[in-house]
Amino acid sequence: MSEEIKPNEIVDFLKPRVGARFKMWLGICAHCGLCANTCHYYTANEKDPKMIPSYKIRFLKEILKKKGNVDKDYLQKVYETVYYECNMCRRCTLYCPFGIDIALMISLLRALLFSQGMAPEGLVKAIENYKESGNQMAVSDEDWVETVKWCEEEMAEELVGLEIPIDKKGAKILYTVNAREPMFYPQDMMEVAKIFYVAGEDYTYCSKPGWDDTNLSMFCGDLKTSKMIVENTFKRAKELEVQQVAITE
Amino acid sequence: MIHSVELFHDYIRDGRIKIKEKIKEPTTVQDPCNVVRSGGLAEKNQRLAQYLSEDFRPMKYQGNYNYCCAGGGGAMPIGGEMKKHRLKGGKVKAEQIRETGAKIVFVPCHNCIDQIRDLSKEYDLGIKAIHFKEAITECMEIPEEMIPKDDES
Amino acid sequence: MDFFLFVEGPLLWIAFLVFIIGSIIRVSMFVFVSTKKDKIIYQHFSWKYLFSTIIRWLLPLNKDIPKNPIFTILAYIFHICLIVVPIWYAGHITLWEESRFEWSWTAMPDELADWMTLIFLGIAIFFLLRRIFSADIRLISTFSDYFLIIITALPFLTGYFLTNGTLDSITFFSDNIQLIHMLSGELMLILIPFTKLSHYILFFFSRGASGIEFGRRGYSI
Repeated sequence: MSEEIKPNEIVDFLKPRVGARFKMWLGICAHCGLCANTCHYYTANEKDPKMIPSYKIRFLKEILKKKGNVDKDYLQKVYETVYYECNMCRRCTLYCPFGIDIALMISLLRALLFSQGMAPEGLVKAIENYKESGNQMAVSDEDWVETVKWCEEEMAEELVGLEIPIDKKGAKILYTVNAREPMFYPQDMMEVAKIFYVAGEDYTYCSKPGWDDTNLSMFCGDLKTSKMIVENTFKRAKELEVQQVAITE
Repeated sequence: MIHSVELFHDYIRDGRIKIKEKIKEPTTVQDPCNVVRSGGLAEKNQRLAQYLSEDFRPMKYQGNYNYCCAGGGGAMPIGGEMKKHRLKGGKVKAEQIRETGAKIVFVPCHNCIDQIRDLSKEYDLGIKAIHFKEAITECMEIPEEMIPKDDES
Repeated sequence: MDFFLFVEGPLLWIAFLVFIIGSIIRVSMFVFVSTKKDKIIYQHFSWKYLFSTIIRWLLPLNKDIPKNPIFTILAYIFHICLIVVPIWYAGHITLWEESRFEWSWTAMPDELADWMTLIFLGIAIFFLLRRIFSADIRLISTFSDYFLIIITALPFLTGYFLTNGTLDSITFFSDNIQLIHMLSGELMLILIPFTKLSHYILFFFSRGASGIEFGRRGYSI
């Protein structure tokens, strides 16, 4: 048993988060196996029984039963299952006779691992970026506005009178993008500018954090950062008095 | 909150955007879990694809019951450590796409599109994965007054 | 004969009370805890999605039928027999008539009850073998999964022996088969609230919760 892991920490973390549904689901899952062939990991891995959704959530039941008395190796096993073997797509839930939401339990396990300092590097990096800049790619507000302006210039050559509004108060829609767009796919922003212009949409971008609609922190259960990201966007929506927030494809 | 797929669908349905010419090559559309299963846009997603194509071929399980591309739930942004697993898991999606015989796959999700492009390479699907935006800008009718005059000469 | 009287009287009461009160506790625990920890169900509460999902899965109208037809259809038949035979079997109704409640209702033909019992037992054996021989199901099975199939099947098996006198040539059974039948039924009733068998009632709450969860995304599952 490794000394780093404190069972009471795990119990304290899980207690408020294991709701009535989770308890019920862990109790009534009949282990019927109907979820097996609904999972793409199961099918793609030559029907490996270890990929059965119902099997993947045994960890939650075990951790609760052991009252958090698990070691690092165990958590590493949990890590590999909840990240490498599940996309939290919820397809199994649709085929479960009881409608058991496996993905919800997987996300709780991810959150538990995060609370124990275990999360994929890629996501941890993104979380740092969010905290620093409000978007996953750490694009500065200046660079962001500049990119939008540049897209506008480019597109104005193609369509007469095209403008890309930024911080337009009272617009109908606040349009948000994936932060990868200004970094790698400005083409996407140009295309959408064209569509909005032709459709005569009354929309706007916002210049301050909140323009990135991705929420990668959610994937490892960092709800604090997750909340901050969502609140940023809603703050901007309120400031700009828009009716709706639109998100990119 | 409104998703682009819904916006674009409504533009075309309401005639705010007119389609000049539909895509002739066979197409299909991915149902991203966040947009369709958890976003409730199954119908609009498929109809938007149909608005844009002459030869739309639905996948098996098209709609709410479609398979995940195996790039979701953070699998793409996790990066290197996940790559092996997501390419393996994406086999089901690759087969689904191959089955339709489509040459163009509409993918209204940044995660899925990167994944499906990787799958196309890995499983040699010979497809082009594009966002709806790209297809709409190519197919839509541009009003006369918006076309720059200088370029015509 | 004291033990027989105990099993026939007080233990039967205990079994039914544990079953009923235990079920009520399981349900009220769910309702009570969920109002605090699963507020999302109530924020998006919808009778429409709640009922549509329950009806779809009570009746064979769901997506599992085309996906796993053999297993799902057997599971439906299994559950129908499980509910119908104990309630409408003539011998049981007679006992209710003779009891202090003096309840009575129309019985099913004995021959049908016999057939349904045999079908039920056949499916139970199939489920058990499936658990043992399918690598998939074996991996996800726990001890209680095997145990509970046997527990559920025993009252039917012993009931069949009792009514048909199959084992009467063996003195032990001809003397005690009624006792064993009652005991097995009582054991099952007692275990229901504490095991996955509680899904007989929690099914409705689980489906309801998920029906609402997907209903708020605009479609019924």
